[in-house]
Amino acid sequence: MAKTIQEREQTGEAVASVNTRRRFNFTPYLFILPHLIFFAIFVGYPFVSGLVYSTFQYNFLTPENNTFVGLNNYTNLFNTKSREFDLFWNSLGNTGIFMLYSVPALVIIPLLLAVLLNTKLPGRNIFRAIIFAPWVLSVSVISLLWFWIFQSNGGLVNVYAKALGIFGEDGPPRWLSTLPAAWIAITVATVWWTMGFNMIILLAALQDIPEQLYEAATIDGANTLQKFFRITLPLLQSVLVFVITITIIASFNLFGQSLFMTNNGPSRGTEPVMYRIYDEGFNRNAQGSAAAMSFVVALIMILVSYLNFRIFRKRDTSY
Amino acid sequence: MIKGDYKKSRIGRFSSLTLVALFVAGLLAACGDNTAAPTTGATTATTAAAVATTAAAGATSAAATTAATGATSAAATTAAGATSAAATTAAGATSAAATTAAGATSAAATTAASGTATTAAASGTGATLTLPANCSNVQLQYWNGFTGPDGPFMGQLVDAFNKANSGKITVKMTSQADYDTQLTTAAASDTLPDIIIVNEDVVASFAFNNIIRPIDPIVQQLGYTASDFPKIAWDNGMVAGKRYTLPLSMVPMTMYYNNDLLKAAGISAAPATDADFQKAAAAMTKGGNHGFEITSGFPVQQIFQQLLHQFGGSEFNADVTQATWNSDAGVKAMQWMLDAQKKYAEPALEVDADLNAFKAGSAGMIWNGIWQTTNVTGSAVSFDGKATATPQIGPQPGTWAGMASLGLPVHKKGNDACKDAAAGMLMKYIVDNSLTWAKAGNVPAYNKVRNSADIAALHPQAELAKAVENPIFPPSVPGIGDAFGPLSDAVTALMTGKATDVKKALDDAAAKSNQTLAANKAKYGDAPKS
Repeated sequence: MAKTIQEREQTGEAVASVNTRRRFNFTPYLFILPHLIFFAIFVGYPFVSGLVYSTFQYNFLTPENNTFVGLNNYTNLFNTKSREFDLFWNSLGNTGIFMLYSVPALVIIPLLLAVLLNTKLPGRNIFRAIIFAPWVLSVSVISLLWFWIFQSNGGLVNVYAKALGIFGEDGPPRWLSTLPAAWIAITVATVWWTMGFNMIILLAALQDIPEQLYEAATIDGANTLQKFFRITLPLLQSVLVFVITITIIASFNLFGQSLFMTNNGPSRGTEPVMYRIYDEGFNRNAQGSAAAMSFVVALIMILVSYLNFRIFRKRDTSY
Repeated sequence: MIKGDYKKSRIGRFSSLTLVALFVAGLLAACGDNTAAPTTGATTATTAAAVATTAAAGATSAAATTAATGATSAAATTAAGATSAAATTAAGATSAAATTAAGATSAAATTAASGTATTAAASGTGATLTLPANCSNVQLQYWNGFTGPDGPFMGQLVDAFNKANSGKITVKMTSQADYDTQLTTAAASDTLPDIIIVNEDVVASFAFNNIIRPIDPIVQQLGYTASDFPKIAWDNGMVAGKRYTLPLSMVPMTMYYNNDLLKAAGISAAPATDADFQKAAAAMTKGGNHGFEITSGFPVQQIFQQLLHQFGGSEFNADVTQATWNSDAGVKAMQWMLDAQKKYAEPALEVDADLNAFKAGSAGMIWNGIWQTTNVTGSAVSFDGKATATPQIGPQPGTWAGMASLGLPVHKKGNDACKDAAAGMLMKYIVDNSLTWAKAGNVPAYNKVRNSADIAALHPQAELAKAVENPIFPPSVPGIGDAFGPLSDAVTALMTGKATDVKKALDDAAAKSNQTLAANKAKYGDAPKS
């Protein structure tokens, strides 16, 4: 019967010969090769070419006019007198606002739903499916749906709000053409759309928590809230970090909801940074400037993700 | 014991997962942004269970491939609200106008087409363009953005042309959504078709970006001169002293009014002057009805431009280096809009709210594009909805309009003389027979057709035939759409109450626009390089 390396090590037999045969092994590299090819084509190449574009005044329609401008595209973003300054930082600020609105909602609501649907609720599978269902829709579908719900003339929200007199004399706000009402409309649409995904991840993690812990806690006389804060939350922490991280990234990628629902208005008040980059690159045909914006945004995103990770890691060690 | 083991394995695994996610995050950001930012690159591409590692492969490819299309199609669909409404607005919109006529058209159009073949021959003032002798079986690709009900009207013209030239020329028409982006990508890969529709606001941008080429000799051969078109429409095709496009049709700002409400208010005719307009709007504003509805998005920038010109102003100075909408005329125009909104309309309405209110029967008058005709008049509404020209508010005539023109694309590998001749013949055929096209809800640019008795029988084209003699178009300089951005923002800010100082808002917008004009000038130079 063949012995494992560990067993051979323990008995001291023929380990040296095994080690010499393991000098270099191509097999693992062959396994990652298929992914590596796509990675190189769709990530590696665009990354490098984007970096090159960002140092040019670049327009792919008039290649004869492309000129090297060094770091000009980057300094423009930090020069208050440039054309790009206001537009870029306004849109980045908007994306930040959207993150502040949407990330807490997209973590807390799915968490509560997951805890609720992890109990022995009758028909819980149906509820899980219902809550997850919107996630399969495309952004244009959900945006159009919520556009009609929020629109001022006969929109569902306003009809009910008026009938119930919720907003008093002035009537409901213009959900799609004034701030901050527009952010509420966009956030509600986004939360409804994507909360099912976060819920499923959290639900899977919840199901991994051993039942014995709760049993032990019950014997010790812990109530439901104590069990949630002392058992559920600590054991969910690493999954929560992951959920928060991907939710931040998804929120950073806001694009379609504001384009469809508010047309980025009023007065670019809901224009996200991803739209700004798109507009710069494909409507203005300034791909160099757009690439520079992309790298600045990427750096900010990496920083935010890193900080998020660090903060939660620190708390993790306290247990 | 259980807890210890559990924590070790779970937390270890999930923190490594988190690390992977973090890495994916950075890369996604980097590559996704380059290719135009996926809406939710990360979320949409990931599949529910397999979390982090598959996200790398799935999401990145999605970012690369779907990002561009997702984003741009999005842009196209909402163009009605956008400032650069051009292609899609006109297309989707003009199309809307077609439905009423749709039933009767196939018969009408074919007769019109064959009937006007004689007109075409007769109308040529100069030498007519014919196919060179060595050309046979020319295949012509014709692209446009007419994806709505207007497409079939253009299709009828193309079919009739193919019939008249059977065996010699075959035109294949392709109508596509997201039209400008299609042209841009085709230009990048040198696969542009042989003849295209160009909208009024992108003529110069297309010329400077190597999408269309000068067609002076062809237009000369076809025999068209400045006197055949409204001056502003004819000049729109000129970029840096060369002709790039030939005007086909216009879609002007139109006033829609609820004739039942108007009559109930004791007024018998649609207002045509400011005084009459105020009177009618005031009379109809009562009991939950609004005499005039105006939004804070599309088309308020266009209404502002129209009033600016009527009060004697202009958006830019003569050499298009300075924005001049902050003039006295601009302040007057903006003040007029704010007053009208305050007196007659609901505040801070979003895009299309004017149309919805009008269709619900609670709005007396609205101003929107001619393409809304079938949406808000006739059998589409339960009252007597009518369309006519917008009243002239200021002392000068002027009507905002969009325009579709015909142009010939650039082919880097060289142009085919046979195809150019065939494209010229098609151009002439479409322009001379634009009566058929007018039935789709367009006002022909060609004077001879526009002033014909046939147009007088089409409504509201007949009422608007006069309005398009003084259309308001953006200047033909590259990137001009971008220079309108700050104006659109300022008008919206004022209409929503976000800004209250009219002069200051217009001044700030002009200053921002001047930066864009200077940047565009530096980027594009004075004339197309090729």
